[in-house]
Amino acid sequence: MENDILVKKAQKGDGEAFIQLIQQYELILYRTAKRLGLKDEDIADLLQETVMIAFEKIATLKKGQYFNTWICRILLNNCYHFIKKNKPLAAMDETVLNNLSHQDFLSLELDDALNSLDDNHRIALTLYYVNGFTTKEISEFLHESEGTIKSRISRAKKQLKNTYYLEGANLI
Amino acid sequence: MKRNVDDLVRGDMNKEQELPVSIRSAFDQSYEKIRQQPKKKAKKSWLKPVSAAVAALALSSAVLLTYDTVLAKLQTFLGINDPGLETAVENGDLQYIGQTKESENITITLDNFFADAYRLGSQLTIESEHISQDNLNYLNIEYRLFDAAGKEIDAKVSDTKEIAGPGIYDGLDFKLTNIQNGSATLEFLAEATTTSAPSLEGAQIVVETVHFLNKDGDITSVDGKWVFELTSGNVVTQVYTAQNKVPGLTLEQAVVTNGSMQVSYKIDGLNEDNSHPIFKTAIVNENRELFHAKVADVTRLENEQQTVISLVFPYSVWNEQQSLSLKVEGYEELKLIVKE
Repeated sequence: MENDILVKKAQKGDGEAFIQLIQQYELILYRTAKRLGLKDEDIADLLQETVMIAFEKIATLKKGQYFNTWICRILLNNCYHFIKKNKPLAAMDETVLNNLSHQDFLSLELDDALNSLDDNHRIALTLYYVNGFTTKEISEFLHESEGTIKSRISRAKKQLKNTYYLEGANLI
Repeated sequence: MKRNVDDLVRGDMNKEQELPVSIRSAFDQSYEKIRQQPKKKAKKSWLKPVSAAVAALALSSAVLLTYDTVLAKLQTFLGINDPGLETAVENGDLQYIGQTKESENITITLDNFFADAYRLGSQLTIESEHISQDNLNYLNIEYRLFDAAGKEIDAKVSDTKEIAGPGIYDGLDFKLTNIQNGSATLEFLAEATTTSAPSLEGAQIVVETVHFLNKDGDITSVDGKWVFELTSGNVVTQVYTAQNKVPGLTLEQAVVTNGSMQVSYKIDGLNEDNSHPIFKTAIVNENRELFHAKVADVTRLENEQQTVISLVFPYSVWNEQQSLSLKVEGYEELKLIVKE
């Protein structure tokens, strides 16, 4: 309900209301782009672009309840375009590797594991676990059947279990 | 403590609990840009309140039409009063396309097409088993417009879909006619109040969803791909400038094209009355005939405490009038003359 009010204000040109909306999704937007395997410097540009496009196009959003889906759509679209233009992603050089902290290595492993998934599985997994969408919402978002989405999430989890969580000390 | 794979994946995929400095800075820079922008426009379509008078292209359902036939239909359609389109059609600005595309068991024919610098209209014949005389209540489409380079330039699609293009048209009206068992004619007219359309030579209009609403209120939506190639007609524009000064009102732009006239003007104060512009603004020709717009865009400039109002009037460049007037209730008339 609060988002509905903010969306309406933003649509009337209230920049502060729009900023409040985006602030709620900052981490989710960042994590979404991160899980697609992008580097922070590129994510920074993509997020700026996403925010400005969203601000420009907020009048086209008819229902405030869809703001989350809508902003994610814009971000994913920007990410897809970027990935398409810049494939293959630049490999890390030795200097960068030497500067990585332990946390970065953990992150790298997860990102490697996610990168081993194909795009369809990775995006389904991201929308489900990062964006918090239901499988039905993802199916509408990606124009696929709910069964297909469930299957992709299940397969992706299985693959992660067999690679990233291979040692599985904490798994049931 | 053991955790299942769901918890592990969720935890790992959301492990970042705060933003890195570069990302924090990116967001903050965006916010700063937004704060520095003038008050953004609040777009409001006036189509619905005046739907009875709204223009849709009044074209025949027949496939092959002469301009005379089309004009005759235009003149009878719902008592439509769109002298801009009428004059444009008389001057050969309506394009017969006649392309038929099939997808998902739905056949769509783009029969006729009109585009000038500020308006775009199409007549489509849609054939589907979902259409019946007894049960079809309403039908509309979602479509995208791409330029010759394949770049999306406008989209009239559901809120939940991606919109890649900048957007051109902010007013859109559908009109359903000639409902038969298995087919119906859909006409739509889009109007651009604040920006002019680029050349549509080599452009494509791509219908991506058709919605059928039956009389029980059930909606059947069919996604598919129906691609139509467009060619640019002869789009002509003529700029007008203000001849006199009117206290509290400034002309921003006045451009006449084949079947439309776009006018933007600025008034002092923040106009909060959304119904004002179309009901209280008119173009007046040398014979003192009035032309009213159907759609307006209102941009409130908070800092300047002014309001910019942009409208599209049903007035054609083919009328070739050297001078016109902008009549806004509560203000003196602003005389517009052809810019040499």
